[in-house]
Amino acid sequence: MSMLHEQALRDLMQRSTADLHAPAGVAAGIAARRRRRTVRRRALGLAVTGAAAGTAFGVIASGAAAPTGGRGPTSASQSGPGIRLTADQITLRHLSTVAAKSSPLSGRYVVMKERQSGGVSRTSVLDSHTGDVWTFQQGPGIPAQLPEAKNDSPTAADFAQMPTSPAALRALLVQQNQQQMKQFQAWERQQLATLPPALAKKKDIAVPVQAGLTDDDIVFSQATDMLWNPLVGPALKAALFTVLEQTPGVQVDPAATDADGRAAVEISRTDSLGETITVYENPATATVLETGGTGPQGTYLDLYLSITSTNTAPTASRYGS
Amino acid sequence: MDRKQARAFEEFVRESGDTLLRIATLLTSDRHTAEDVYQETLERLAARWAKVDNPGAFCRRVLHNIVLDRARSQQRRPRELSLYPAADSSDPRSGDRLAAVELRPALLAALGTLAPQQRAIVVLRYFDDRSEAEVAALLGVSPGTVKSTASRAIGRLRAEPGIAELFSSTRCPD
Repeated sequence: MSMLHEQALRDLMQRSTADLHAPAGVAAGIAARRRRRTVRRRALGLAVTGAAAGTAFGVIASGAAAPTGGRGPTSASQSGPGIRLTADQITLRHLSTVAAKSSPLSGRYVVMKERQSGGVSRTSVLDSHTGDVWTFQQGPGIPAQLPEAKNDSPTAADFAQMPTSPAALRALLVQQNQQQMKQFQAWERQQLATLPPALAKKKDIAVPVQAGLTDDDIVFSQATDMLWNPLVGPALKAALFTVLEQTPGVQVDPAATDADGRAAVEISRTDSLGETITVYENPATATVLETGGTGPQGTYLDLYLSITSTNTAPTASRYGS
Repeated sequence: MDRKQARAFEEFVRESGDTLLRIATLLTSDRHTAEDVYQETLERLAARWAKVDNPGAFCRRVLHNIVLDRARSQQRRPRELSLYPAADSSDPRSGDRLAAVELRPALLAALGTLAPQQRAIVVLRYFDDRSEAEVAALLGVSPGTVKSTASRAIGRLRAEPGIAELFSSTRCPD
């Protein structure tokens, strides 16, 4: 075909799309949501890293062992009745009592106003019946409504079925972690299937960095991640604090402040890979104020400004900027 | 995605977003579909940001894959009939927007008569200015296929009633 026709087509395609501009803010929204996903996955122990990061992790793991001794109890069996509790354990036990007495959310939809590191403000709405999560972002140039995530959270009924005896709950958390790993790998495989063969090398299937994590590490990250979820009812929440109380290596500061300056109980623990997860709870209500972490993969922070519930289904005009 | 990666991702989109959206528009023949496809592409890029060596090439592949998927799923469904002509407005930031809005319907309609694979080859080869070898690598076909498909597609486009006259009236530089 003649060069002339090729050039004519080139020119036509250029000119007929010359006025098209990508909508602003899309990338920022996606990146922010990705960061949030990473945060959640990290809190679940499902952090994804490449092979290189995995190697680095190995080095760090051997160099920076989790703190031992000191403030926390050294074994779960020590904290039974009749044993003197550490100050950390007393604080956690108190939070457990507060949580047990708290009233469950009355509305179907839970509305969480949040602020994340990087200054992103957002409103997340969780449907307690279906586990659907809507995210509304606020800020100039950011689309008011981000896509709804179907069944992104366990439902309130799912949580209500979980055991509340500390030993059974601990076992469930370990098991839940294994399930999430499998789900996550399946999800990765599915994502890879959408790519052309050259990119979708089998070795690319992320092996979540879990090698070297102990059951205690997993229990802490699972438990603190569930505490974040407002669909967890009073009894389960109380049990989660009891599980934390019985997990070695947990450090508690009863008189801390969160990143917004609010009075908080700080609960933190450094896992065997050198990542520290920290959550801040409201001492009066045992609800989450802030979740954050710092480790080889960087730092992150999520502040919960308010948590309310409603029976009105979410719409963009209600929560959008 | 950590903060540094998020910044790099946003930087890439700032630089390449317009081009990707324009490619998406040429591939889908519809501005609104194109914006959906564009956004989905960025979602997939963000999901794999840490592992993608060449985000530009990755996005072009993903754009094409999404368009292919959509074409396949639409074959199974009856074609939706639009009651109103698709609104197409122009971005005021552009100088020659009149020309663009006038030209676009005919070109997109003509491109719409090509099979998705043909369209991808034509768009990457001529709009995106990729060499035959590059297009072949991006789409996983042989350079010979790119050459013959492109040439057949141009012949076909020139025969489209709405576009034939554009071909002859288009000024060629040089």
